[in-house]
Amino acid sequence: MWQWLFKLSSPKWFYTISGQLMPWLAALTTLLLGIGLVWGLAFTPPDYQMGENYRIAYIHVPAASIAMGCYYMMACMAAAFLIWRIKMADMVAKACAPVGMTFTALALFTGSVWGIPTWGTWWIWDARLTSTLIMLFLFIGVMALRSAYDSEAAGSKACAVLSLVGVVNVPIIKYSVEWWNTLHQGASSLSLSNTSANPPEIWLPAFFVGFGLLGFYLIAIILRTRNEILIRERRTDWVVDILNTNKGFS
Amino acid sequence: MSIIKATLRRELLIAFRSPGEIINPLMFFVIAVSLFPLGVGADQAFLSEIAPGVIWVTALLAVMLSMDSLFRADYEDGSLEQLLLSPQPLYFIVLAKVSSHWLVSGLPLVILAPIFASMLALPDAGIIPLTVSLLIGTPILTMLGAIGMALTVGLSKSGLLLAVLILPLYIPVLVFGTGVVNSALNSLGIAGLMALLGAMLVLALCLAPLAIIAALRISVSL
Repeated sequence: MWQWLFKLSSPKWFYTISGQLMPWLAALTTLLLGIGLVWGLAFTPPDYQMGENYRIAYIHVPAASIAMGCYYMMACMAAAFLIWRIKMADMVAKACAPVGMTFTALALFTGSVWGIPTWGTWWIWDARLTSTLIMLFLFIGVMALRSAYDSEAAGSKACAVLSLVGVVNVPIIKYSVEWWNTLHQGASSLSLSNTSANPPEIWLPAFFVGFGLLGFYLIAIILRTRNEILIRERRTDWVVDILNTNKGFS
Repeated sequence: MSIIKATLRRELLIAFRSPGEIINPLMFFVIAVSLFPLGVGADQAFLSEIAPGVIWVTALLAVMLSMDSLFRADYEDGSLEQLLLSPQPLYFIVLAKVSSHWLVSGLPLVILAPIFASMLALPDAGIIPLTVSLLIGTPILTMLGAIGMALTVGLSKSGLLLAVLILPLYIPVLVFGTGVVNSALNSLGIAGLMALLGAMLVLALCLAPLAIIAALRISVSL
């Protein structure tokens, strides 16, 4: 296990292993997303209060969880990069920021679309909405900092420091926003993730879509990381070989 | 401990020799607060309602805008490198440097805030809680701002980037700071919130210098 992880920290190994995994991951993701989306969006019974509208939660809930997980993943990679100087960790962290930002934006967008008919407004300053919006700002901040640096190495380290400062703050921000929200307007009982009351035909598709989106997330991260490897290692022999033979995933 | 004293002395001397650096953030605070009644109308009841938020947000922006003078001059004339190379404990040097910056940029805001809160018709019950919350809260803002400034001091255009990096991190301080004032106005207890602000200050004093040092090392190596 450790040896395998250790090998993954070499760009060449990461590139090779991820290339071998990719077709399987892509097939599994397509299968899960296909089953989950068709089942969830077309065949589950409509909710007796929200009607057809609740189906957007099948996308919204996993997108929001993945977005939050992505921030922690970015911070872990940043720590690995700062402590052990693993270049691969920084490449993954670099891939995390735009992907995490997109998932956060997706969660906010689907939440707003769901909110218009359900809450009667597309935006309220609810604790979850607000802390998700702040997380979007944090992702944007990391991307802005990286693009401001001309030197790749310095930008990587600066982003790693910022990600770690951010991850210390994320729980404080979340807690403070929840506290602020209860002071100003009372806790919202409209929770999207309250699935304990639902039968399996409601939550099983969510399970499929959730793992499908997770697969999609991993594919996005891996593709971006592979591109980054090719760019940063473009002067090494093995990358030149790949570019010359141009074999795609191999 | 003598290194703390020496750093404080040096920083305060530099600050008092160029008073513009002290006065500008203060003027920003004064002018920006004065803009609000002009923008939203002079209705006393409404002003008193938004006063805690206006004072806190404006103080927060003033602290952020004052950050530029913290490392910029030292970075440009090379004394920052000398500081990082010095055999003295860097943690205390950075702590003293940031503290002295707060003394000349944050503390005057705290002293001026009651006057302007009063001008915004904040009820008397809120004045002391506002001042104390600013007294505990602005050092946190300075510590967090110093992290952002240390990360961006080596970049040529860093003004707006600093805002993008730092403002999201300021949110908890703003929430608890205005929370203290609003609780006091509603005759609720404020000890718990003050304690939370104090805990955040202790956390910032302990951890922020480490992040600042790491960030300064990156900026100097550019």
